[in-house]
Amino acid sequence: MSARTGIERVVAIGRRGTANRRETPAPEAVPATAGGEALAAADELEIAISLPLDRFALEVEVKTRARVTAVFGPSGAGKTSLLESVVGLRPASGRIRFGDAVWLDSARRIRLPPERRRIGYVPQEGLLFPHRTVRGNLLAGAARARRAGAGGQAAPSARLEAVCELLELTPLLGRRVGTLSGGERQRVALGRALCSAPRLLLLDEPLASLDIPLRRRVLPFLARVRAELAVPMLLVTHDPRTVQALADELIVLRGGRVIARGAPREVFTDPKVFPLAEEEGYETVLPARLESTGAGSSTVRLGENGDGPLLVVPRTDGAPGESLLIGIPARETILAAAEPSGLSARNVLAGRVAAVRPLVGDRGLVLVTVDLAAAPGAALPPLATEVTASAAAELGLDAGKPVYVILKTAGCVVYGGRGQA
Amino acid sequence: MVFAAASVRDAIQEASALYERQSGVTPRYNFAGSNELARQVLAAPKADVFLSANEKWMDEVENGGRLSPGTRSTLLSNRLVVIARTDGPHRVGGADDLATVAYRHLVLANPDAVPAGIYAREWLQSRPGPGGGTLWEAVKSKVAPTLDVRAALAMVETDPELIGIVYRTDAASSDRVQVLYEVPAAEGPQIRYAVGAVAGGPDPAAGLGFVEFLEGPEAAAVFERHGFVVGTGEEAPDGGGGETPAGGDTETPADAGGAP
Amino acid sequence: MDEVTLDALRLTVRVATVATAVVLVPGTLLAYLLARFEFRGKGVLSTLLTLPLVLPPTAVGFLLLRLLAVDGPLGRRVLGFDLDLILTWKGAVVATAVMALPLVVRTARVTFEGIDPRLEAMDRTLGHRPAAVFVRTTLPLAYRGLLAAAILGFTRAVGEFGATVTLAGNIPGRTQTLASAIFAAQQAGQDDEAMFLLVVALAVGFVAIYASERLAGRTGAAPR
Repeated sequence: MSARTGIERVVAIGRRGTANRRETPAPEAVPATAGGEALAAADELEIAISLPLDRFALEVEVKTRARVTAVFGPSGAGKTSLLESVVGLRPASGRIRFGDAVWLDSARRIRLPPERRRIGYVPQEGLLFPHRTVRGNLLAGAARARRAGAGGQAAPSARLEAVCELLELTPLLGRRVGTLSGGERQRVALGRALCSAPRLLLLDEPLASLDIPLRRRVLPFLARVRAELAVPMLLVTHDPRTVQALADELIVLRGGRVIARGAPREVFTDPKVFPLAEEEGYETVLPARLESTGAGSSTVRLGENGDGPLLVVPRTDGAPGESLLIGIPARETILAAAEPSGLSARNVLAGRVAAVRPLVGDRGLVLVTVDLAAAPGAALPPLATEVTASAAAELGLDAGKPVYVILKTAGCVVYGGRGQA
Repeated sequence: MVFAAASVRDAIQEASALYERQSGVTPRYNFAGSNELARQVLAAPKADVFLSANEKWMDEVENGGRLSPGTRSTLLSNRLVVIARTDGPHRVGGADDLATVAYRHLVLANPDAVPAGIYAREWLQSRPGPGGGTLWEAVKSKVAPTLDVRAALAMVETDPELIGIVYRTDAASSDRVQVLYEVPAAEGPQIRYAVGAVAGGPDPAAGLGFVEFLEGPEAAAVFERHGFVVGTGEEAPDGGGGETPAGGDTETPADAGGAP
Repeated sequence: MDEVTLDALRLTVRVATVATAVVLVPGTLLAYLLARFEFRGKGVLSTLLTLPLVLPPTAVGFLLLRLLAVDGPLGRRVLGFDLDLILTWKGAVVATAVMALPLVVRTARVTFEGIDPRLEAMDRTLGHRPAAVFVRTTLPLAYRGLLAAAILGFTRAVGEFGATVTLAGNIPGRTQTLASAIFAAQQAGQDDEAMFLLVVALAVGFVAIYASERLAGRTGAAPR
């Protein structure tokens, strides 16, 4: 996928998107968050670096063609340093290559400065320019975009318009940076990177500086960027929800080393990795479509195309058919060996046990992954649930065994919906 | 506490060492241009002795009522010399040459305030210039005033095209200037260093003692060694300035301008 | 106002303006260098730049005299031509510039240090070379502080005396600034003249500060 094609798509989709959003569900598929799309060799990212840090050395060797690659790890694992090396702000030794562009090659004494790597960098703190308006910030990288656009196609103003549509920045254009809210700042930072026509987008903890309600609002914007633009992303985060919502490929970093790699949900349910992921409470993040909204709750259908089971979730505003993300905390689930009745919980989902794995530590817990029953095309990722080992034994939970998952409405987390972000 | 003109600094500090040995009293010094010193003496009771490079500023102090009566005397004299850098091309054989020789600037310590400059101006004002008027008027446009004599010396040291007028004692202290012409006593202005004990200072008795020492023979020997003329400076007929030592070493001008 | 005073006033404004203009760009660049980079000899550079602040002005003047003497390191014999700085108004500019430079550098350096270097890094990631980043991002953010540096330099230049009089003398009409004229009058015991000149000098200072406050106020955006 060449950059030019991507830009064309931005312009086209941007213009269509508004119309669609107001009326019917967008017919084009929102690409799956499970299993990634692989890109061509032209967009392969290769990192083989060694970088001494405070307490250990970062040693990473990966090659990825995923559309969105996430680097996950606890704080201090070296994630930000890794990202900064790819940006070119931190010196490392080794090799960093993106497609046919060699950004770092210590053996050949090549080290391109940041301005010669066509990257879009969205740091954790946003780093908006205080002396420019929002519009000024968005256009800060326009010169490069113009150079890259070659031929006048997708002139900066068109790109600006498309990005503003995508991230709903149009009403903010004339504002000064100091008057923006946290979520607005994050969106402007993202928009600025996008408007500079980058070949690779790098995000550092895109949601970390936001409070919980804001995270819920901004995550869908990231999902939109992923869905509608062709720019590969490398994102760094310690939040499993962000990973699940966006990533096609997950790399887990710990103590400066890669300890696991693969499709996000598989990697997360790996007993080596799960404890890292569940520090703040692990949620399985699933795509869904809004069905209806009632007095105190909303109903959604799980699945990209809304052809999975129904779920009653906390109330959210939005138009029917709208795409959402639903987070189901592993600790909030109750499993039943037989179909229960007379429960206060509104959600009972049928499924089959995919795997049962003991968790490290002496808490006596096991991780049970459940494949939810749904139409074959729904392609729902497995749901992660935590139960005590004794309970699992008692219920005779084994791979393949039918099981019911019980969820309270309040236990589900909704990402998306209207409102100020 | 001794307020003394900057030009006697080296000499008086040497004499001071002698004095300390003799009397056990350690004088403290404030060296500056006599004009500044006079103002300071008038402004605050900090001095016990005032040594001025000219009578004018001593007059000011006396008129201001700060001198102990009867303690004033004329201690020293000096000679003016016309100097240039050791590699300077110009030659000055007499006052009139100053009007004709093609030097760039005539460097003087501020001729309105600093005694050395005032003396130089008076000398030039006493000579006739070419085409009527005084020599001062003729050379005035080339005059470059400096803060004090040391600055004048430093200035002359930078450029062989410059000519300066300073005290003989100052010229002797630098080995980068040569004396082109020494102004004879008869021709030059009356350079008179006056000394007096200041009333109302921190230690008037010590001040008096020091003044007496300065007027004595040991101090006189020191001053002469540095090139001063002890006394009023009116001298024997041969006082034409003696040698003009090229290279300006600290030659002890034992006979140049020796006191009668 | 008599001729002498007018001369001194004209010369003061001329010398101070030229001196400030001369040090502004190099001073800003030096300040940026010191604020952002580490390099061998940084301490030496920083010390050299502070010297004129620490030394008595006449000492600085003497140093300059030594440097510019005919056979000095910057003298006619070494350079092959005469810089013509001794006892000229150009020399007054140089001496004043040397005395004002440390203040300009100091103020500018603090300004630059107050700007988050990550903003500059961010601009680089958007595709701009370091020189372009300096112009697009650093300068607009540093603008107020640099203005303050220029003002400080200018006011110092107006008041500069010791180094100037030592290097350039105190020649009325040629190198006599208001400051040295005040001194000369004072030395000669002409107190009334000195007072008068003092008032003129104060007026110059007030005008400079007022003009700069207006400039700063007018260009300032809403406080952040």
